[in-house]
Amino acid sequence: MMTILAVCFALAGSVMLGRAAVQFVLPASEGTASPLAEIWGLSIVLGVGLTGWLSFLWALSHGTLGYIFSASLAGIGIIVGLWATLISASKPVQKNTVNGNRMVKSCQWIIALLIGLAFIQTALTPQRFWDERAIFAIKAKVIFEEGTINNSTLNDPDFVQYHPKYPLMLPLLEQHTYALLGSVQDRWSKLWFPLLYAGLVLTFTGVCSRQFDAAWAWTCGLLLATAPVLMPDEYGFLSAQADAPVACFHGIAVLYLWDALSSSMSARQFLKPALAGFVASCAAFTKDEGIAFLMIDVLSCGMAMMIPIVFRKRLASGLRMLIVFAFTASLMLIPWFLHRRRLPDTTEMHYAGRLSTAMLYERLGTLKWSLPHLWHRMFSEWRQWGLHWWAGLAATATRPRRAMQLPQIFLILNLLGALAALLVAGMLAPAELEEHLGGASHRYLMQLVPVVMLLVASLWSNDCEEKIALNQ
Amino acid sequence: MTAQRSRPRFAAISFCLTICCFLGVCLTMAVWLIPVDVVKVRAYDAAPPEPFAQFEAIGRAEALWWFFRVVAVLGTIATGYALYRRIETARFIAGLIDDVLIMLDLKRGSAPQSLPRRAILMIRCFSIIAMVTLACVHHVHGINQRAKDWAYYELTDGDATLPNISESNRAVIRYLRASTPDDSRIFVVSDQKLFFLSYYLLPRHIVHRMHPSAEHLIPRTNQERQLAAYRLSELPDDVLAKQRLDFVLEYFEGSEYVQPERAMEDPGFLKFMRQLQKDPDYIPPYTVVLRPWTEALQ
Repeated sequence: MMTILAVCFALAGSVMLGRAAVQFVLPASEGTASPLAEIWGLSIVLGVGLTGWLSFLWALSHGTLGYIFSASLAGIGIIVGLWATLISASKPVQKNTVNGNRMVKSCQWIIALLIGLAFIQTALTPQRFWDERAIFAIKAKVIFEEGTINNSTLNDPDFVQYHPKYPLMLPLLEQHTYALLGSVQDRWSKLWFPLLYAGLVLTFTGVCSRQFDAAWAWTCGLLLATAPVLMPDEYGFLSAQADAPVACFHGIAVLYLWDALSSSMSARQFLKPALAGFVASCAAFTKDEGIAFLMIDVLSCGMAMMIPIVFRKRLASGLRMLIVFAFTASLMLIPWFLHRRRLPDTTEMHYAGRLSTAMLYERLGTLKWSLPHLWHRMFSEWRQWGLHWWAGLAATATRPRRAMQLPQIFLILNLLGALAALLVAGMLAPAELEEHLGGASHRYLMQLVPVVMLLVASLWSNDCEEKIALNQ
Repeated sequence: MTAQRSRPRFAAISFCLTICCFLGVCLTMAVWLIPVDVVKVRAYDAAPPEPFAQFEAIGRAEALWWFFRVVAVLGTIATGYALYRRIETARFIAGLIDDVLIMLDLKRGSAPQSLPRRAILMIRCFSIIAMVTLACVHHVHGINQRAKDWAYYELTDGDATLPNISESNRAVIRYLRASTPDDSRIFVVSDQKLFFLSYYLLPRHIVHRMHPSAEHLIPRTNQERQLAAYRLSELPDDVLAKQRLDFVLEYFEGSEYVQPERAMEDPGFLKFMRQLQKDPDYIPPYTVVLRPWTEALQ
């Protein structure tokens, strides 16, 4: 019983901390009230991200991680979260439209049931996969025992751990649970992951219901929540692997960039890219793919704005938006990169160091295997991973005019960039291609599911064409 | 919806709810009256006569039976409540059907759509139905999978079950836990990836110098891939000198490194394995030799 109370305290503390952060971000950025789904979804995502980042910054400044820090963080989180909830209670909340209200309610019930199922199924197994134990849980256990990230164990190149340079978001979150529990119980530290599942689905639905009809937004939220690769596949949100959290953070970063591109620019509109930048930094602080996604976000957004149709209208404001996004993410990541330089290099792939034109040219032959493999994973294995790639393709093919609008071009370029990054990673990795890419591609593609579903939602909605046209 | 049109719908929905409620009560009574042990015995009898399959079948049956018990109770309560408020429920369900049809564009009061637009709407409608159907299949499979997992994990901690690792890894972890103090530092020379040993042996610190050519190789089951490794005598000079160590462990499983003549070199491990296997003559097929650091130096 005490175990469950401690875990609930940890999770509730984070969510309420995020709720307080949302109080400063959402109303200001919107000017109008946000849907409850977005408020609480974003509270979860920001809360989890802030818990990881604050733990890291505290440890980096030589503070001791342990019960006192974790209990204070969770306690303060709950207090400021309650304060934020109380002061916003008097403000209006965006209600669902009358049309399709029963549809919305049904989707809400099903999503609530799915979130409940995700929590129960996650708690039914201890950590048992390679990455979750070899990379993240080992670090969490060491940090819990030593009470700091600046310990000789993690800095020792001969200490047995996989990828010593990997980011610390997940180890710090797991450590936060252990500190409140008082011992290492890796089954309970997994509950952060279904929480992020709830955060992803609710934020996605909330933002969509600002842009589209509520019934369509909740339907798309339901389709995202039921993508088999995210849940109930055991490598998705039910495990403590980093892929699903990256899907959540990267998906929400892209969601807010898309939201900013889809809305008319206002003086306070730059809070959205700043928010996207913070969430993108969380992705980069969760797994190294997050760094690639951050670069892809900047490039795809920049390239989308260079397209002649939108060039004149949005270039100046778009560039400002992009700078805010990149600046926020970089600012957040600086302390991590400074700390990372001190960590050992054992088992690292050194993608950036190996990137050169000569290397790419030399390894062009790998595409003969990796391109068909990627196609197979995305489209032939739909029974196993879901139909989202087919839906994305069908939506683009059936709504080409809408696909050529700025926000959708950004999404398409983002997806193409991410797929290209996977192929490049296959070319650069110092490991056997088929084993390396073949064993990881389905998990990498999982990280793109929210973006694909956003593309589907925006292309197949009944009302976004007029809205976007008006905004442009 | 006019009152005349909706009356048959309400009647049909009320009738369905009554049937569901009745079935729910019967099902709830059945699953709660039949003891779990009866179901486990039946599952054991139905399973193939292999110990592993029977073990899994028993655990799965137990998990599924408890799942049915909970679902039956909750389902019956929900159906009973819906029946109690049947007018509102019927109105909600009828309206929901309309909402779904409108959203899927299968029901339109307005002018007929052009052919390309109709085709697009049909593709969208088909995609949504296909995605939801696929999700249902996956969720049934997921619940079944968790029921299978229950046999292995129940609610025990990962530290106790040591899940999803090889039997040999498990044996070595348990041996080291029994033979070394909690705060010891153990240097391991091995042709194995030692991440799980390191994870489950913490707070003991496992230190190991990985052979450069094995750094990016993924091991395969049953030692199908031999990873290159340093033997104790082959370690670079500086490796051991700079470590503050308590024990040295030699642990090899691959055919290139296992030395059968050393199988009995560590009497502690031999005794541990013989107790584990319940066989007084058991000889481990892999090399495990644990020595205190000072002894290993000599």
